[in-house]
Amino acid sequence: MPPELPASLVLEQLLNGLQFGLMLFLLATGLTLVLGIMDVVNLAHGSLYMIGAYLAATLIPHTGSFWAGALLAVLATALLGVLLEVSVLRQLYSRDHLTQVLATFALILVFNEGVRMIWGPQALLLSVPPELSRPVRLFAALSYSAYRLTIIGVGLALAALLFLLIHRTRLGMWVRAGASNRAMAQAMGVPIRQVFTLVFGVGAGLCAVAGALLGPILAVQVGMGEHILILAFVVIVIGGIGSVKGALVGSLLVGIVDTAGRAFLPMLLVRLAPPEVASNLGPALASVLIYLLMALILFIRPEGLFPARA
Amino acid sequence: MSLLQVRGLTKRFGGLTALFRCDLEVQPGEVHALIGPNGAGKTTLINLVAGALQPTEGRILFDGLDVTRTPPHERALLGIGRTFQITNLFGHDTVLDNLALAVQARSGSPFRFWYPVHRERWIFEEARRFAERVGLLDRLGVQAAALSHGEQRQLEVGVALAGRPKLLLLDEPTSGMSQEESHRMVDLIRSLRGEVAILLVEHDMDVVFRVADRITVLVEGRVLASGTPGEVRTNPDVHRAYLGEAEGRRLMRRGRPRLPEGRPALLRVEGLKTFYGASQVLFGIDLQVPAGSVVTLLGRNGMGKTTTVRSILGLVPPRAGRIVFQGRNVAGWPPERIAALGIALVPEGRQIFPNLTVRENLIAFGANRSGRDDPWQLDRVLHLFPRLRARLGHLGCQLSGGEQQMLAIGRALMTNPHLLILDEATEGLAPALREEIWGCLQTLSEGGQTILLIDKYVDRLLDLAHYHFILERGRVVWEGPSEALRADPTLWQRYLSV
Amino acid sequence: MASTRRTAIAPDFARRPSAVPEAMPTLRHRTGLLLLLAGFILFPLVAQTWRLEFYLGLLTRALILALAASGLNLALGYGGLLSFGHATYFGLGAYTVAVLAREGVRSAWVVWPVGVLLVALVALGVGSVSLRTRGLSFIMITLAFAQMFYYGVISFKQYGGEDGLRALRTDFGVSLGDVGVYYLSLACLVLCLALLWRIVHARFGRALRATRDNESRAAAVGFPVYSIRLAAFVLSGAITGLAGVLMVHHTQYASPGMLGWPQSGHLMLMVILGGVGNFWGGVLGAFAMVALEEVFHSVTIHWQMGVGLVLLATVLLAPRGIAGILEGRPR
Repeated sequence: MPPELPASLVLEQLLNGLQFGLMLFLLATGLTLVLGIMDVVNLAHGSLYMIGAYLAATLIPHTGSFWAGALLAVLATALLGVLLEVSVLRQLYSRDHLTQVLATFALILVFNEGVRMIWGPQALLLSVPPELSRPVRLFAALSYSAYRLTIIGVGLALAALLFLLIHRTRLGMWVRAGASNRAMAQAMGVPIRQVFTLVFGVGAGLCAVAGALLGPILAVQVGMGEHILILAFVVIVIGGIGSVKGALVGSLLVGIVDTAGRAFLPMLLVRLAPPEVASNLGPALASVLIYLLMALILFIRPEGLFPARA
Repeated sequence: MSLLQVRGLTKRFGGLTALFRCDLEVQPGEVHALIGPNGAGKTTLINLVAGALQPTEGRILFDGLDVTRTPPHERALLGIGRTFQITNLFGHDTVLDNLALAVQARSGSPFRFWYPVHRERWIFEEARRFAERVGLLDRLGVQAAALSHGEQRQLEVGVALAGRPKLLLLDEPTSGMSQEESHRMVDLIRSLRGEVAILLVEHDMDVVFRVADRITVLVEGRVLASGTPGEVRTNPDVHRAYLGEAEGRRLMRRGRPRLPEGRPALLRVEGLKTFYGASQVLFGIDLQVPAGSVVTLLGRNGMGKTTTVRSILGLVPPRAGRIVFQGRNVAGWPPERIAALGIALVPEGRQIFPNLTVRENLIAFGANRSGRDDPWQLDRVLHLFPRLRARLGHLGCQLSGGEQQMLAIGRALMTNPHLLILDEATEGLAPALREEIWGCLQTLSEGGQTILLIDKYVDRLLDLAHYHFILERGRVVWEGPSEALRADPTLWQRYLSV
Repeated sequence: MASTRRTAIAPDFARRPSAVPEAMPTLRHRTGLLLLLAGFILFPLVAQTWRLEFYLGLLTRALILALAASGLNLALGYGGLLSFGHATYFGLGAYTVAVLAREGVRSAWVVWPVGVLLVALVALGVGSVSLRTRGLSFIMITLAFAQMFYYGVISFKQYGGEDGLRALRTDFGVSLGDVGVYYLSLACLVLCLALLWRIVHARFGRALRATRDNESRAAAVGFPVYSIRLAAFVLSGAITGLAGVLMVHHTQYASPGMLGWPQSGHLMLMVILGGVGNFWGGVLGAFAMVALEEVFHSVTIHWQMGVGLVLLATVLLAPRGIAGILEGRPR
């Protein structure tokens, strides 16, 4: 490792990557299960993330507590998710992918404008809870934001909880069975419709968690859902459709590669290429890195790393 | 010189070997039939010759050229035409347009951007000629999707012919057809003899013996026999392949099971009619399964056995008829509701969940749907299938075929069903394993389990089952107890074998 | 046995009788079209007297988007290719003009061919890679490429970065005013539609629709599916790129938003509004979309909500779009 690259910087970026990856995982899980079980491409998933952030930004000052407000936002978004599934998404199960893509894209427009109507066009301010705003010393070399550490903690806890749910409960077995062979699961008595509504609601709630937690770091504004949605799709394509394990591996991979790429690639390029080229190419390549990764994986293993279907 | 030469052709899908070292030759102008029991690899072979699949090993020579790596559209231009097992046409185009497209494709580059196609009148005149050839001249303006099933199969052949092939690959051309439609297809195939070589996959032995010059028999991916129809018909290996081992180690006791009279019907199917899209598969099935009995569904492939079972479970909604289970008509119910009443399926191809462990496959759906006093539980299932105990932590996809079969049965038993349905539960298994499974089924039956069974080894089933239904072309053509079936071997020849 | 999984099949919109009439338009159709064309030609002259200058700009925008949507319709409607990256070609066409203008090259005779050719080459590259995949993978890869180009373009700070780039109109020997751009757009649209009409009715168009309706059957009768799709993809991209060139002339501004995937979605929605796979789908959809946006714009600042709801309803309830409604129920 070159001498100008201190270990603390690398560690910091790795932690950032971990943090981002875990939040991506929250979004990707719902998305991959929806696609895996019901074969529905849902572009409006990012909108649920946005709505979760907006609700959190409103309810937190209202209740005076970060955690109470965030929890309420999560529950409200989960409920919204269930309503959305029962009303609009049900119409799309038997339709082809193009119709699903376009219908959910239209939903994005509706949600974006709806949010603008209710909260106005300005970005909302969501602050880090005061008790977590001071940095924490890690390994005596690194000073890291306590809030980000908390995010990592919450992310890991939820990942563990999801893992327990998916891999240790009967409901989880039903979900996994439904993701690999829906008809056979039904033939075994799994009430797949209800399971699906539940999965959708939980997925919506997870989006809201990510929205509320990332709100203080990224901006709470209309359109925040679109960018992260693309990344979530990249994650599930890499991880394999229908697999929560794949979503986890994929998100961590994407989170770390993206964050580290953005931090280190420009630095690396400056040493290899003339400055004008590097200053343009660096950020461009960094943004593009995960798409290149996805294209590579699609070529080698089109089904992804851990596909649910054999 | 042979028109088509297949040498040492092998196709593997992951761990599954669908074809192994197959050799085949088709002479110019001859009609060569490819037959074999379920899962033999016939359609895989057709797909390999057509180019839709790439072989793992082996070579394909056509008209002197090595076409093993040639893409499908180029093979079509070289003179290989094909029909598909499931009708595969340009659905929204008319009969005329379908044929015209095939004529167009065969006559020059598609990269012409300026000259309107409808001005090339000769294409449509040729198309009209082919329509007449296959008997669809009066249906030229009808959309392909609106044709009857038989007409669609005729159009399939027409589209393949319109490419002026030297070799025509027909994959189950008479599937789903009525008797009259089959006769028409036979006449058509006969009229082509000499003009075009035909490699034909068929299950209907009437058709095969009326058109074929030579027959090749495929069993479990290997060529078992090849020769004239007479040779094949009298070949004992072929009979054994279709009907099962005459001898062999028996785990099952020889018996003449007798069902006490007056048992109520657990399941009654009345006038069941089922369609796949526009094509009718079941034409009014009637059958009954008395409580506590073992009943079989027999018949060759493509006759509707699996469709009947899928209709019972609601996996395919029936178009007409009643499915009465314990007095309730469940036709049209969603599958999970029907399953909850106490019917469990061990499906064709096992279909265990690959992303669940053995233990999870078993316990995920466990229930006591028949309200038994001593229900099936994990321990008891593992006692029945000790082999699974060592594999509890393995994922479903890591098991061998035999182990998957046991797992599928165990999974069904764990729901404690009133009715256990098994579809081809012994297919692709070694003889010793088959015996094990039949032995286990006999044990279950003696314990009072009602079983509906689809299998082809009639010899064995006579010892196991009480009553039999034979299906042909979506209808029940014979029913009766084991003694009656045992007493009349001509039935076997007629409906079950070659 | 019927599979429960959805494979790459022709989408819902294709479940209708072939919308491409076998014969050339009837005399009545031709007269109608000529009258319409005359109307468009005369409009700017009339606009001055009746103080409708605002609508000149609106119509220009509609004409350009009609061209873009018609280009997309070739790949999406006739080819069945769900490209979520067509905005790339639109944006690259625009940026070529803007960048060349920034570098001092302003002759239209150089810039226009370079723009269209560049876009065609990019479409060739993207297409040759993407078309080796199917279904959801295809959507994702075209999306990925769109994002790559988006980030690539905005990384060039000297060409505006995230803010976009002002552009001067190219020089045809005479300088172009707004009316000039209008006529140029109209001319390009009419020419490209005529070209598309020929393409769609020629062997290529029939073969393309065959690959859309039933890929395995098309290959089995001898059509080289991959090559046909690639050709359609490149043509489609080039036409959309041309629309991008026109747009930057209209607005005199190249914005990165022209490249992003929401723009692709916008174009796709136009096509489905007008009628996917129908010859006039792109034109009808673009005009309807512009009209819809205008109507809602004048009614409320939350016009996107109205548009979004209308589009949602169209996708769910009238998947054959306006053309479908005009054609009436299928036989």
